[in-house]
Amino acid sequence: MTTSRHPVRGFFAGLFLGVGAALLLFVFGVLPFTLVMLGIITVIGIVVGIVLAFVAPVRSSDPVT
Amino acid sequence: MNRTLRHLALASVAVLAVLAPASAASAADASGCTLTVASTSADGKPLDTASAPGDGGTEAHPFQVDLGGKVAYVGKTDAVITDGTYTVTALGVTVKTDTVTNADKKQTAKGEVDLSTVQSLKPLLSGGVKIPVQGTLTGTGGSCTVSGYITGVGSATSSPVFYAGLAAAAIGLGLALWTLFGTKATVVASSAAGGAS
Repeated sequence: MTTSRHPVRGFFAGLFLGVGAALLLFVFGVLPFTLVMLGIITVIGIVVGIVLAFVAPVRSSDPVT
Repeated sequence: MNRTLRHLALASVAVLAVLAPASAASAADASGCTLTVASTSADGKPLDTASAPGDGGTEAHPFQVDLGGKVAYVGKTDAVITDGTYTVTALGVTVKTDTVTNADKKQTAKGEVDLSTVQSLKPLLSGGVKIPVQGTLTGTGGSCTVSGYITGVGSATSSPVFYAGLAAAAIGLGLALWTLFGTKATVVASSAAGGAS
């Protein structure tokens, strides 16, 4: 049995989520808009996305002959 | 850790390393000079004031500006600075730089800036966005640095940053769900398994 995981997809999921979360935090004045802060939140998002890809539960099993 | 993961981690560190030098001060501050500013709205009403060093322009209470209005300023340097260069940065990025001769050897400067001519930050300066800014004057006789935070007027939902953030978060959420539900186990049934011996 082989498990098909998607770290690259998780990377981009985290990238977009991180950038989106950062911009929303900036626009509501929760954090100051700095490139450093944008970078930190984006990197955190990327790490979370990659980790998600590796710990995601296996959803289905398709037999292949 | 496999090769893909290692490359992604290295890419993340590289991005952070590139962005790290763009750090900004955490509070309004001035060295080598003092600066007092007062902003007015597009319809000419007083909006906000700040002094560096002093009150206003901090991260907690950023100096509010209306990009349709004006900012009046009064600045004084501790020493006579001639033949210098001034640089204005926002978000850690240089937005304006020019030279100053100061042939009259003045230590004070007073004037007004019409912000309608400074539109490069317009998409960012709305809602509650707090942007770090820094001004530096360096020349013969000394130097002067002023830093603080500015914010715009209007609601957060009127800002393009809000919609950009919402769109990015929605795409990220979609990709995250795809990642989550796309993880599959595949049973490879060998043709020899269970076959005739």
